[in-house]
Amino acid sequence: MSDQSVNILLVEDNPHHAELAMRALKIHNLAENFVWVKTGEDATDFIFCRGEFASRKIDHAPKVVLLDLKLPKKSGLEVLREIRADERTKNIPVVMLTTSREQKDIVEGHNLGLNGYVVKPDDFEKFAEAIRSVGYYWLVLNQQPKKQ
Amino acid sequence: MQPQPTDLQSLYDRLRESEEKYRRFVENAADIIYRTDGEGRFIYVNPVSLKMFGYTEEEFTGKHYLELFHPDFRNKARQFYATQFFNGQFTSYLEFPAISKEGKQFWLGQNVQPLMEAGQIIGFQAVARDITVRVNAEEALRRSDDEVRKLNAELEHRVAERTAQLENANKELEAFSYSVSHDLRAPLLTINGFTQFLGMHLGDKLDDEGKRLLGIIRTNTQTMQNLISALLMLSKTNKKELEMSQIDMQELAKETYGEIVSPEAQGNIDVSISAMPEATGDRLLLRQVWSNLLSNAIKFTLAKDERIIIIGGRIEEHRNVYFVKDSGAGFDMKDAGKLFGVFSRLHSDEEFEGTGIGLSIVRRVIHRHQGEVWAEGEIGKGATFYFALPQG
Repeated sequence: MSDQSVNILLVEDNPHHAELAMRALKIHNLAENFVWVKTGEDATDFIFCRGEFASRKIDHAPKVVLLDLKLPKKSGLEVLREIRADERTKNIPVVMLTTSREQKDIVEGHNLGLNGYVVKPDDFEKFAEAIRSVGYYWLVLNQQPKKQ
Repeated sequence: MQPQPTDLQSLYDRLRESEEKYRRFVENAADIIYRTDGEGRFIYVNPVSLKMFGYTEEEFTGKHYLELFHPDFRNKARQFYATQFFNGQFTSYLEFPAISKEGKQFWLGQNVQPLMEAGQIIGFQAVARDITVRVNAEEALRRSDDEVRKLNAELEHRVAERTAQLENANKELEAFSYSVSHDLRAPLLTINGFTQFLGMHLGDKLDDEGKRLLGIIRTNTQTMQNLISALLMLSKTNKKELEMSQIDMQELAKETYGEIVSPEAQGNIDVSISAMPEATGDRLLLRQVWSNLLSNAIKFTLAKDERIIIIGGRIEEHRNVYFVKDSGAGFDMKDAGKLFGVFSRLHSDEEFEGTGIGLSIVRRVIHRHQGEVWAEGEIGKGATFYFALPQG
């Protein structure tokens, strides 16, 4: 693996939730090449190699993006929309991570081509389990379509 | 045979008497009586006419009849009489605003007849009466009708305004519950996550007192989670559109019981779910009702040695009644009114855990179905919770 390869991009404004997610991944040995950004802007900068991530290469896409729905300014749904709108990034798996159970967010996310939707459970063990299954599926089981 | 002069004299006298009689009659009449020539100019008016219009006899005679009409009404009157004569109607009746010499307006109702001679109209005669009082009364009535209409319109406007406010309040409530679900849960997830992580992965570094304190934090976090979940459920039962369908209530009760009671616990409870009438209602919400009532029954029964729960229903006039009867802790009937209130609890947390929201959800759901809830109980002997749904 090159030093640019990224397994998981976590977009989460709450540092404690980010730490919990990271700890959950670590428990299951899934935390390798893990990147955490706090805002929607940083997320799109990272994915489209802009701003402080300008030196990145766009074809080193993360294997999965764990995206919080409620982010300050640019929302999770907006980030998702931008990823899906670009030919180079539209196939990146995106899983929404949120405490919201609002039906309309789920529907809108799926309309935008969301790959999964994980409601953060109130219980850490369940949360760790949800994170584990998402990480395991997208990092271990899922084979990305080969690039042309 | 020619009449004799004496006869002529008496005929003349009688004629004069008769004319005198009619003249007096006309001149003393309370109504306006007048006569015009063929063009509509007055040739005779009785004293009441002079008095009402304020003209002298000289001024009155020779005036055109339209001069007595309010200027705004003259065209209409001209058309009305033209039509009458064109159609050859013998009499007509018209109500119109008249104007006196001093410009005072009053209303007259007037009967007009053409005077014919040899097939020609040689003039008109009319009787008119002051109808101002009646017209004003009608006008007042019309105005009050208008007023009523205006008030109605205002009322409708106000109702629309209030409805909009209510919708607004509902939206705010929705935003609030969204905020509860997201913003209150987020920090709770953190507290819970870290304490759990601490217990699981760093627990060996804590002494017994540390572990006990951690346990208290965990228990209270759990309680708060349950409260938030129950509050959300309560707000959902208000928001959710009712999706009505025919429901096999016995099946639904069995299903719900199986879900909330673990197989091990099922062995400890003597439960009977008997036949009951079908219901018309929202399946998801009625499942919630069963779930809350059954959890309650189980919670208060498990503490006792004798654990009996009887679930059933019956058909009554216009409604179906369902019940959950338990042999649990029961309650004092004087507290029956407090059972279904939000956050109202009859037991301390040490006796029985609970959020105080479960039964208020039950009541909300049943009220939304136009039904009723009530309960009977006795301390130490158990309780029976009833709900009735209208027959659909």
